[in-house]
Amino acid sequence: MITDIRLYCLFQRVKNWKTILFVVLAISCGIAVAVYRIASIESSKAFFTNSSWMGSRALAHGEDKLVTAQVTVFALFALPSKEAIYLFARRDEQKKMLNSENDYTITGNVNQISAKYWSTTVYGKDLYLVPNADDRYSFNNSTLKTDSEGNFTITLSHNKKGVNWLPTPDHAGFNVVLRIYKGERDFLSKLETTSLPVIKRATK
Amino acid sequence: MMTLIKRVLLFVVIVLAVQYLFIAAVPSLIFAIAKVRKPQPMNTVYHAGKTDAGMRKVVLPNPDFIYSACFFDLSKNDLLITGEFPDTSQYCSLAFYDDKAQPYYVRNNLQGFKSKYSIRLSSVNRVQRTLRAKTKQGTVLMRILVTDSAQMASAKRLQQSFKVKEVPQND
Repeated sequence: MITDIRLYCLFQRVKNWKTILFVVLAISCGIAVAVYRIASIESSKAFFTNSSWMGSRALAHGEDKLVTAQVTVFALFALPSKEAIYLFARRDEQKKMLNSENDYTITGNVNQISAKYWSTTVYGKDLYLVPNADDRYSFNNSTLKTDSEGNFTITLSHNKKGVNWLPTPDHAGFNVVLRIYKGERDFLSKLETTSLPVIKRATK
Repeated sequence: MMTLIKRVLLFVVIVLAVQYLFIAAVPSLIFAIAKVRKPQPMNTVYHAGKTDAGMRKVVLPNPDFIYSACFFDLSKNDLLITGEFPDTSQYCSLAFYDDKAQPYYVRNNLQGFKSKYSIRLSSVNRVQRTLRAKTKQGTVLMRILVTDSAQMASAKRLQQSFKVKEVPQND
């Protein structure tokens, strides 16, 4: 009987539209804050930055709920960091957002990255591969063309350019991912400070 | 005045609680969506073709890999996972994910195991030779590195060797 009265009182309260609006507004704000926090990977304490690149050693370890959510959204089914490190670039070295209105170069030396396998891949803003007639999406440490000293330049452009050309989308923002598999311990321990390939805006 | 302060406090508490719960629920939610979008039934293997711009099931696919995946459910049976790793230095791995898409075990061909593998995945405790799944549902993902077209034929053969079979839990 007492339970029935309580339920009735609760029902009467819920019938109050102001209460409903209050709760809906609070829930909506909560979801908006959560979405904003998940999207803000650049300001996350769990991510380090090195020039244009950002990455996390906690990637896919499930130790931090926010990082776990960010990894699931931005790199679903990623490998743990002891297996692979994923470095994302959304900006050039001047910290300006990558956009295919411009061309870019990624310059470096193959010996900069001590790992079993590493690759550089272009993704659209939707985090999927960019469709192109050449079926060309990435370069890795085996396919990259270098000079005799191991130096390389990758050109990021919507139009075919240079030896190591990676197509970018048509008039849109894009991302570059540097994957490092089975990196050497010394190299990985200095990932925040070591010299990594540089993404520079190029003149068209 | 007190009522207003109470309402503001209640609002803040609800916002904080909802954002915490939402962030915590995102991995499970995304795994559930991936499960719905999977091309094969549970406890069967799906071998994907060459990775290109047409692959839009999972974000950030690596075009240097070919993938095979199995979404599993161990609530009724264990799963016997068999296959072969390359005996070359061509990277290949099997990664096990829980129902929040978080990895808990990775085996690759560079760890010194025999090239042929047989892993019994179970949600119940067993003494030995069994990998205890972190959750009853999850995913096994096989990655094979293909850095030039000459490796594709052997990669496809290895991909096809990856098989799963349901076995009774008390077997």
